[in-house]
Amino acid sequence: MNVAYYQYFQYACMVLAIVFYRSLKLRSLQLLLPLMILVCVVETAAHHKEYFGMATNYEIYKCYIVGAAIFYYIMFAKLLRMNKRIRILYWCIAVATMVFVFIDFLWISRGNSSTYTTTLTFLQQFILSCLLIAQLTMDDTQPVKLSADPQFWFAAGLMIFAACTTVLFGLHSYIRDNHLTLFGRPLYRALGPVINVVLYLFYSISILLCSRYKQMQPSS
Amino acid sequence: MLQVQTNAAIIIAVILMLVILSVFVLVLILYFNNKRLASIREKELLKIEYNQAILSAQLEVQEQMMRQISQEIHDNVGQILSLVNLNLKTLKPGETEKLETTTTLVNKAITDLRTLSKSLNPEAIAKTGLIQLVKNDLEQIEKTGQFTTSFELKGEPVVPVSKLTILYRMIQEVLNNVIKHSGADKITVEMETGMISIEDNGKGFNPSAEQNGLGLINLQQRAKLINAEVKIDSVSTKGTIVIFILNNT
Repeated sequence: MNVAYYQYFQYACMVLAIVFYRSLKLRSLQLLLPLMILVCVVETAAHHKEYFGMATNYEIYKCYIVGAAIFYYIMFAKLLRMNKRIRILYWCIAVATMVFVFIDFLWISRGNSSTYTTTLTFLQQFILSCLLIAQLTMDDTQPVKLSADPQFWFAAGLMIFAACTTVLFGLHSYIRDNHLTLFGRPLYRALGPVINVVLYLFYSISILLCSRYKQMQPSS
Repeated sequence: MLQVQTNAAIIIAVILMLVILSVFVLVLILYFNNKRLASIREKELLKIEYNQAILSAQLEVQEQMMRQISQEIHDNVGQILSLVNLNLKTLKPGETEKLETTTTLVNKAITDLRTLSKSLNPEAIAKTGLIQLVKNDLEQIEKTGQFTTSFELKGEPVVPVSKLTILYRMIQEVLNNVIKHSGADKITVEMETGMISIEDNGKGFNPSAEQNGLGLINLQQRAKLINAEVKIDSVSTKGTIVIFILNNT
């Protein structure tokens, strides 16, 4: 079985999410578990695309992009404080984005990588994580120590990941067509795993902090 | 080929810059968050200290009042009632003058008890007002016969009700020190909008001397609580003046 080094971080993160699922619920991060299961399944499938008779793994990653986008929308809807109007606007943007993603996958970028969708979804995730960090930082009602806050580490990991992937996968077609490489590998293959390691390391910290948070709760 | 390498380098540089920028922003946020939390903790500690100081000042005022009440009952009301008792015991039918004196004495005892009853109320300080309270204290001091007092009002000091108790306690402490240690026979209290001064003609003292330090530090700390300043000017054999400067308390 062919397993890339960054996949170990994904599996470790998934195991942590399973073990500390109850703790994740307390900080509204319970969707990290299905997200991590999706990530692990997609990455494993993408690494063994030949078993599914696929020439490229674009279609598999497209499943990840759709699934992850939906999970992130639901998670941020829980994590971000919004009034009714902003919440309606938020869901309108989310639905519109998903409609666009389906149109793109089904008709525009069929069988190919999708620059528009990846750019749009990663950019949105970057903005949402920035908003969450801003909200946590400026919370005057209940100031928290951010370095011990699971939501901060979740948002920080996603912010760094989304900032890099927006550029890297937004330029996916360009990098592929022009053979832009680093250490003899296409840029997205050379840098992607490193960014993944950072993301799942941050998620793991977030999950572990959630478990500590649960320990600090008074037993009822 | 060179162009391709340049493009790859540009993309890597952009990604690297984004990572560095993101990490920098996150570290900055964590740094300021820690500073903010430390400042909140410090503020809370200060608040607790402030509340404790206020509480202790209020307790001291209460103690002072109790002492005053006890003294008043013993020296004043007790004496009057003893006299009334004696008068009534020795009263013979037709002695209207003695009866009138006794009635006057009973009325005086009632008035004194009313004054005492008022001072028992913790809100009495705010109700009576600083000026009247200081005047009452000076009257009490003068009653001992060992001091002549004068009170000059050039303007009413502006002090919030919450801080009035502390200021009053500070004035009382200075007056007590004058009575106990100064050897003076004249006390002058002067009030202005932003200042209160207490002057005596006693033997004076050295404010920087160690044995005087604790009481003065206590006074300075209380002044700090109400955003005031304490200035002491003392000349040997000529007396002391203590000035409270009220900075928009």
